[in-house]
Amino acid sequence: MSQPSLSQARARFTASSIRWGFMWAMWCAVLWGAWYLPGSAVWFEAPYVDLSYDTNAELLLAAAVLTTFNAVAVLFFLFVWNGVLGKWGEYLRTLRQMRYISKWFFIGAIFGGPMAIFGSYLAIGYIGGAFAAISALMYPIIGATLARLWYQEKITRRAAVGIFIILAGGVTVYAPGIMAEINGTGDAGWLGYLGGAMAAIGWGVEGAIAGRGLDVADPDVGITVRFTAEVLYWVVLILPGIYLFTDQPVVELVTATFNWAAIGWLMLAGVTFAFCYVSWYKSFPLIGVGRGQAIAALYGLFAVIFLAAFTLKFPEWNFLAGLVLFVAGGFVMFTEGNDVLEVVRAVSSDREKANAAADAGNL
Amino acid sequence: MNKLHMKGRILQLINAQQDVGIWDWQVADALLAEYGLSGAYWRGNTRVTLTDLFSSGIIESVEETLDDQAYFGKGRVLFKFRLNDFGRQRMRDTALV
Repeated sequence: MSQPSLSQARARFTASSIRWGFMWAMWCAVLWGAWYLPGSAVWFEAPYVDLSYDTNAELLLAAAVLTTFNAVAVLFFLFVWNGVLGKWGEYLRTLRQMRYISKWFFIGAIFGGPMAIFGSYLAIGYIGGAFAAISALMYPIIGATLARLWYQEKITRRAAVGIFIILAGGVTVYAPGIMAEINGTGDAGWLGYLGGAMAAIGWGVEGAIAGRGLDVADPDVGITVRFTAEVLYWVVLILPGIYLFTDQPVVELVTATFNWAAIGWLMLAGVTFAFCYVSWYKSFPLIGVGRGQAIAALYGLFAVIFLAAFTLKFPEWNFLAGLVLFVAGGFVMFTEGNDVLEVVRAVSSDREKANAAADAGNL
Repeated sequence: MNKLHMKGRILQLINAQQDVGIWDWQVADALLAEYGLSGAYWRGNTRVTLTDLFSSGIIESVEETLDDQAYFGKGRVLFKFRLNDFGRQRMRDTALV
């Protein structure tokens, strides 16, 4: 056994685990971007296209029912996925650890579901798919900051620069539209803007909480527990709550949603979002929550491309400028040295010293 | 059958060896035997979980060698892992010790 080939194999191991981390995050971005297509299209099907939307309550109800169906569809595909992987047993074993593990995914689901996904459907309903996609792009700042403060995730200067460039891309893409909205008609879409902000904050917080839960749980299983929680929130708490305490036609809307066109789009939304979330959770342990989120934020780019291809409305100059910034920011982060990324957290310094000495002895 | 989830059990297996550490293939063998699993898929799955734990800074490498027996695959690295302080803290947080 020659030493060089061990060190080569070791370098290959590090490079491959980092590459997998970035690949998962990239997959997440593609599928996440694709999700905005069915997520927008379903608004143009019965019963949602027939609603008058005279009141905010009507639109809020529509978004709530859509998010519920979205969550059920995602959970269905996650169960299929775990079946293929042979992880149903692991799902039950993890779910049972409610006090120590599942609670993190249940808390994360509050931020990811009723906050972020519901907020996104609101933003789509009030303003549009491209706006919803782009308005949530700030979320990696929140996720990376929390991960840094909570469990000492490394945010190097290069990673910070990459995050900043990606965010500058986000601003470039959406600032002109928002300025027009502010200078123009006024308060028409304020709930849509609130929804966009809810999405950004919700996904940022969810990612940081997920990073904590994934320390001791399998990603494929962890994401399934998280969507189990979201389905419970909607089906057992929120929709029954709306039914009991308001006079909104929640049962009628749920029943009317069972038509081929609406369910078809919602199944497509489910399959894209299920695997986007699987990839998101798989990337976190490998490259860290901050980097995973920043690369996954490229979904903004893919969403704009997919929506443009589908609606034949081509993006404006500022979208293209944003695109360049997204790619540049991702490239800055991707070219980070492997030695920095091998372990994504700055864990206890005396151990690291001992480890460095041991490594030196091995070489 | 009230078994622990696998990632938790893996941490216990590593922690049981204290500072000496345990080889990744030993972890995989012990885990697969306990859960009644076998084959390259589950060995690989265990290796992926160990990689997650290593990247997250929960376990650290004590010793490394080439996978000459092709346990996980020829030309790959075998790792001897041990818990670090952060990992032990996570185990206490999660009531694994």
